[in-house]
Amino acid sequence: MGVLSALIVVVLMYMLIGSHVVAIPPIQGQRWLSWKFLTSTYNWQDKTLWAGSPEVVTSVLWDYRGIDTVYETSVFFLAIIGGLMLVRDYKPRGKPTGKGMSLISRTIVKIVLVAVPVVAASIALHGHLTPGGGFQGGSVFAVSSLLAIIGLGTGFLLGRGWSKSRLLGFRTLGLIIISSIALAIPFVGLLNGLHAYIIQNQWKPWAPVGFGYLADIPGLGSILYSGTLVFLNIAEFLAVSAGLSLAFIIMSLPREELKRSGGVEK
Amino acid sequence: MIASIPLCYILMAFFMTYAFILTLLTLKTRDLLKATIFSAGQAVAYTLLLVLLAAPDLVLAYVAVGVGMYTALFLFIISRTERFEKEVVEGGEK
Repeated sequence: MGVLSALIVVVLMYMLIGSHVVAIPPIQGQRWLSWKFLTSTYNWQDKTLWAGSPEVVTSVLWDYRGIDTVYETSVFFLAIIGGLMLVRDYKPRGKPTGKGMSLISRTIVKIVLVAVPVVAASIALHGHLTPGGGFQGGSVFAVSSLLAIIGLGTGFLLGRGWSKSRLLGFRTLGLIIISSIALAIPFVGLLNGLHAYIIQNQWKPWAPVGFGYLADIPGLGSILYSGTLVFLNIAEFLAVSAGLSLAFIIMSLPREELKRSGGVEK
Repeated sequence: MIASIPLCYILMAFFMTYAFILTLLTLKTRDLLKATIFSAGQAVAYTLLLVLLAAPDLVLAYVAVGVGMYTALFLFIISRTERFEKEVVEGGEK
């Protein structure tokens, strides 16, 4: 049996390599597009189409196809709102009692709980320089709140003021920041009579409005912040982490409590 | 012939096969807890595949969603229903 399965594995691997599934190069007809992105994102000689960021993926997500990402964020927001509709009548009454796991697990969860949000924040804040970004950082942060719910009980987060309205407020604040950044440049362009695009990032010869890319801070030198990218990443981090944490908190509420408040099943 | 293939391709083929086998096991098993763990193993294999494809951005999202949240979500759901899937035959449950 073991020999047979090893044989099957080898044959499948051979087929994958032999039929060029894993070695296939990008399609010839689409290479010019990736060439364009790679050569214009951080090109200091020719700033016509640049995003001011060495991280190409974030530039594509928030600059070249920024409206797509804004749309994704709003779809995610509507999904969370739809989930909250199911428990709209729920009002917390007293402290929910959830014990969590054993002492060993609780101790380890408490140690990890410090580290995970730090990693999440670094992924989100460095999103314009290194791989990562708002969504990635936000989902890593949501894993930490999930860990707290499972390891330390449902009451842990609720007892520290992570209420429904507050998390929803953070979620909405993130969306408001994203939409105001998206509309700021067209607004400035409209006031000055210049051509400008929605969610435009950098200055362009035919649309001469931009967010800039270097911040001169006394004592620290000049810091590359890549225009809108860092602000959009922070806002997305806020929105995604609050939204996912809220979804997990609602999901983990005791069933009796949801029944008593009359939201789920009467 | 084997020597001419880069190690990267062999590893990629291995992880793809591994993910395929784990997906089959996920579909086959009747124990939902085991199915969730197999599915998480498939996510780990895909993560390593994405590392080999030099796509660290995708890895960061995939680790958090595929391994962390997805698994925890399904464990939550299974804790509220039954652990074992019932066999459904024609004309009702067995």
